[in-house]
Amino acid sequence: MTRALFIVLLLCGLTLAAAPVNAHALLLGTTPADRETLAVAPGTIVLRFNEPVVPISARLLDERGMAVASDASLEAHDAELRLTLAEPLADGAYVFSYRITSEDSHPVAGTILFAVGGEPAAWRAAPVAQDNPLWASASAVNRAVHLAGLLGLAGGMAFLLLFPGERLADRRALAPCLAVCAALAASTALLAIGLQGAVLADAAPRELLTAKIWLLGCASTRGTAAFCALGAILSLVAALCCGARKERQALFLPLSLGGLALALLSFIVSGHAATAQPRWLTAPAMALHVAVAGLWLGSLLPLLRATTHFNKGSLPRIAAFSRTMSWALPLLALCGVALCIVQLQAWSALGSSRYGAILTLKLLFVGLLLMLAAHNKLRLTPALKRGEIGAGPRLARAIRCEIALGLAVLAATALLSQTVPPRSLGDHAVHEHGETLRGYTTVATGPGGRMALINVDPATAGRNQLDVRFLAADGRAFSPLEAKVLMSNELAGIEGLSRPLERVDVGHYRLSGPEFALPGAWRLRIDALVSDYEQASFVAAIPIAR
Amino acid sequence: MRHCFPMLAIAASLVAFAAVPAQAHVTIEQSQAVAGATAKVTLRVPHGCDGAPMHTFKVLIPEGVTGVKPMPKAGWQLRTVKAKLDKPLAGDHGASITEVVREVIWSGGNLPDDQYDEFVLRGAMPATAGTIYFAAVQECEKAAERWIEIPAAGQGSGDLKMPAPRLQIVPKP
Repeated sequence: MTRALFIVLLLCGLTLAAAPVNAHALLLGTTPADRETLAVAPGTIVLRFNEPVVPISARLLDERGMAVASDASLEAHDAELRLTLAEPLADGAYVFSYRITSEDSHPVAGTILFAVGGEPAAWRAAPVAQDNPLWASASAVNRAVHLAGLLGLAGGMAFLLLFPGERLADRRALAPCLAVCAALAASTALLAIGLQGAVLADAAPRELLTAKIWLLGCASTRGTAAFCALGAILSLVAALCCGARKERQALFLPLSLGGLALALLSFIVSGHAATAQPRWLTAPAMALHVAVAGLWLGSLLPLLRATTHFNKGSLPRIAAFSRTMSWALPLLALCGVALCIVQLQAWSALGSSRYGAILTLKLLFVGLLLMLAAHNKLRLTPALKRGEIGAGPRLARAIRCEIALGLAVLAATALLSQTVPPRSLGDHAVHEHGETLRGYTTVATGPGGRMALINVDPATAGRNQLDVRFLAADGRAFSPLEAKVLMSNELAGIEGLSRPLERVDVGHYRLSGPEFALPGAWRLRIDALVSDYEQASFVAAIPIAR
Repeated sequence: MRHCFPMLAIAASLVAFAAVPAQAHVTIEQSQAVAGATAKVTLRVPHGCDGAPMHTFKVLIPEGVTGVKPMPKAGWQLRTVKAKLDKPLAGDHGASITEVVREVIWSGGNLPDDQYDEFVLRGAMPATAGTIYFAAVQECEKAAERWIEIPAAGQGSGDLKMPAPRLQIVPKP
């Protein structure tokens, strides 16, 4: 009887014990808290769980990944896990990683980060990866001078080709002006190579004189553009030299046409406007835009001369220029609008982005320039035709104003070329200068043909920026409802480090922080909640350098 | 000595009993159902989310389950989301099914973290045997618990942190 009862009870107990037991221990809180900065070193590290736990392992590592040499003892009191530190911790950042088990024998691992004695350097928000302001501003100034020089030279030559007056005299008279433009354009083209190298390498000022920087600049698309520009300048200067001499007239046309073609090429091989997708649209649009703008701005100097040295040949040339521009300007505007649409993607970006703000400034200058040009065409040129007294000096003054405004437009354009357009901020894969994303980049595939482009910058131990871009099977970006990353570094003993990812843009999520505290092979699992009921996980290995 | 046995047995079973913590996962009470037959599915919800009371419970009906009728609950509003089928399914008496309940949502209720509740529905099970998953979401004030993980091939449900409640479909006897 008793034996029967015993068996029944035992079976009963076994059945209950064998029932699926799913409760994993849940971490309720820690002291110090995750990512807490403490003024004074803690004596103990305490983890509180929702149920009694059994410790398996725990590690406390400093910033260099060294296990902290202290007579640390780990003990569990019911639902509390306590690590007593025999020696006070030195100032710095620490990673505490633990592995416990609860009654369901299911191991649970986790990691917290904390710092002692003020926020460690590795935690501080690093300046967002941006071009070095020194090089960026030097580049912008250099670019502005280059634009003025090259457009002045090429436009001036184009004017001489299209509206020939007294050929020889004209060319000779304009030669000094064009030579100055050529010298400016050539020197800035050369300097642009070095500056681009310095921007790319984020070099210190004195490094500008090292060969490495210049080779880097040469290898970039800006380098190609600079060589095209130099070729153009040489060709145009040669054309001018030949054109100013009677015996070498025949060479003027081929040399100047070749030079102009090279000058145009220098604008479409580089820069984010001409290299944006779709290139079949942006490259020709850019070429046309630059050609008309160059003709307009480059003609101002010869026009000024035609006005100040007024003779019977001046009037037909001014009139012919005015006629040409009346159909060329709409073309210029059309190409400009097309390029704007590609770069901005949305009109709202005009007001909300830095690129948009500079573009607005440029458009403002262009508007003023157009008003002045209209005034010249509709009022001053007819007045000059009628032979009104003072019409010549007034037109000359207006042209000088046009030159000043033209330079302002070029300055704004140069600034634009140094600013990342909204298009690129939403772009993935490759930065517009042609260099790939910085740091470490990898692609992880997930269920349903989805992909996650993962970039860790700079991929060295310490503060990093983790960027994740989610792509659906059709290659379009998709934004999950929520995204989080689970990080582990097995060799360093870091497990279960979980962080939410912040949404930056459509399909673009980010984590910025000191989580990659130690070098080594990190494993990431990115969980993206696709819909209420569907989660897509992406697994990737990230090597973090010392 | 003889008298000790019952005492020991009782003690042992008590220990075993005490060692079983409350089931923390959302699960289905029925372990199996017969393919093609109508069955009752009881979803057991053992808590709110992480300390907060649950106000909404949502269940995704797996493909192949038709004719779903959820059971109303006092204190909860009941709503279903229907979906048109790309390929109609054969129903009873030669009728074809073109629309099914895709989602069942109980909302406006209150399940404190330290209480237990059950949500019931019935429907016709898929015609083929296998395992089906009723992905479920608990919504609370600020958080949500999503029991939506489905094990990959070769993986057990025990390896998952938030497994979707599952039901074994057995062939018709």
